[in-house]
Amino acid sequence: MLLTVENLTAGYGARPVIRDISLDVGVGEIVAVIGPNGAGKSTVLRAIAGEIAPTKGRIVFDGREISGRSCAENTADGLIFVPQGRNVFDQMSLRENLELGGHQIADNRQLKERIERVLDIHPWMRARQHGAVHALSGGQRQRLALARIDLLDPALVLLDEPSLGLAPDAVGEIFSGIRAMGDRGVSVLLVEQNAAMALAISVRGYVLEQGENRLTGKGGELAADPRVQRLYLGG
Amino acid sequence: MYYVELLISGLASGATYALFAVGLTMVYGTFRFINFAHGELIAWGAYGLLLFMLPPLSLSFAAALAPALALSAIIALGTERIAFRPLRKKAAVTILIASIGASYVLRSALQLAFGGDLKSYPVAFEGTVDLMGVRVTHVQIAMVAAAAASFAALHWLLRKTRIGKYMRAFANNPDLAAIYGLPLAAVRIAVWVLGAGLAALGGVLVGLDSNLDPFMGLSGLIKAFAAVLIGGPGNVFGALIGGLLIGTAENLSTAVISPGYKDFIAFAIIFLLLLFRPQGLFAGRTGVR
Repeated sequence: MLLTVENLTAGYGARPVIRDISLDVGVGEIVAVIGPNGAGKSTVLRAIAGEIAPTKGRIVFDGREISGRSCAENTADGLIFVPQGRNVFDQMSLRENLELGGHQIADNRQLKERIERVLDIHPWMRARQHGAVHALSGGQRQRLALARIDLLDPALVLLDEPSLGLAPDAVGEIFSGIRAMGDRGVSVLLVEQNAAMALAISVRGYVLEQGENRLTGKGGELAADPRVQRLYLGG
Repeated sequence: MYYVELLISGLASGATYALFAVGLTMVYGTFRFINFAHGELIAWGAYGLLLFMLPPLSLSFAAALAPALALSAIIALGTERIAFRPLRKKAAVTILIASIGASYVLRSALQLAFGGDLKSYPVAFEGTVDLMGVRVTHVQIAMVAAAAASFAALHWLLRKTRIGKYMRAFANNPDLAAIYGLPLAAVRIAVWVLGAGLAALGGVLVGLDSNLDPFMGLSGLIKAFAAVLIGGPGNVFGALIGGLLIGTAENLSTAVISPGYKDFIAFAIIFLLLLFRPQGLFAGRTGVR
């Protein structure tokens, strides 16, 4: 397993938001965490990413215990976190966002080459690289946030609600992008409100309710499970 | 010609106000608090130059300038470490009050070290040049040149260098900057050193133009506030325009009101902006720009 989380308990202040969460992500797997609003899905990612310190449990990434390490350390080790909502620097240019995303590449020439590669993968970005990011559409901003993955070649990406607030066609594009990451061998731990789409591209899903693991299963089986359908898929 | 001279001396004072304002607006833009002790960095810069020019060091003006700016930067970093950083998780008003306390400590230390009387530098730059019939002093030229060079350098730094981009990133979205692991410690040092150094440079120029007065930091702070409010908090180049506008307005006002009351202009601008346009004249967004 690339990532193993055992009995993770974490929260803000004294009260835990998530309790005894366990999950696994294997190499090249896309794994989804779904559940209703307030179930603690984002907290799981933030604790793994190093944004908040867990109060209990183990997080093992690539054979090493990483609980309590900072986001910066994890990024350097190939574990990156793409948060939901404000996940780009909207006052800066698109190119500057890419430069900041790759700031850990100390050699300027190497950073430039990496950015060129990202611009080759996403030709629309080349045309708008010097424009301000606040002028981009919601879908374009999300694709820019995800471009950090093409830039850094991480082993594991933690994705928090990538479809949040996007128009339906933009959502489709984002999900096919995530599926392509899996095909390239990048592992993804995906938190989603949009359970049907998330399970459709995942090998495994974890259903969270009130901060605890409720159900675990293969992506397709979970999507067909009547309990999941009743709870989250409106079936 | 009288009005042209007023305009020029207004632009010259405005240039120093803009230098005062950079640190105030950058600290607000990056760390989201208003540093009431910022004025004392102006005063300590001006008095620091005097300290290095007087015995026992007796440096020349040119040799004393860099250590004077460095002294102000060290004071800024020290204040941040001792008074502000331990409070960074507290409410913004707590840090604001701490900064008022820090300003009293720094001003009293200044009075203790140099006395309460007006002082002046042991050199004088009293020359003037004639620009198409308008008399301009060398000090006024130095004020405008120093501000122009400083803002050009600042623009280059913020747009073209890694540290400048990190500074703008923290001002724009501090949470994301932390997730990316951008170097906060380096940004913190850069913001305080640049802000204090430019404030000190402004203080030295004011000291050359008139006198050194232990309360010069307080009046400088008022001008910096007005400039920051005109430009929009966090907007470095807005503060440049704000500073120039206040300097010009103030000096032109002396054609109709007594020069002793010209500080009234800055207060009036602060009052009107807070009432009608607290986001600044060129407003919109926040962040160091």
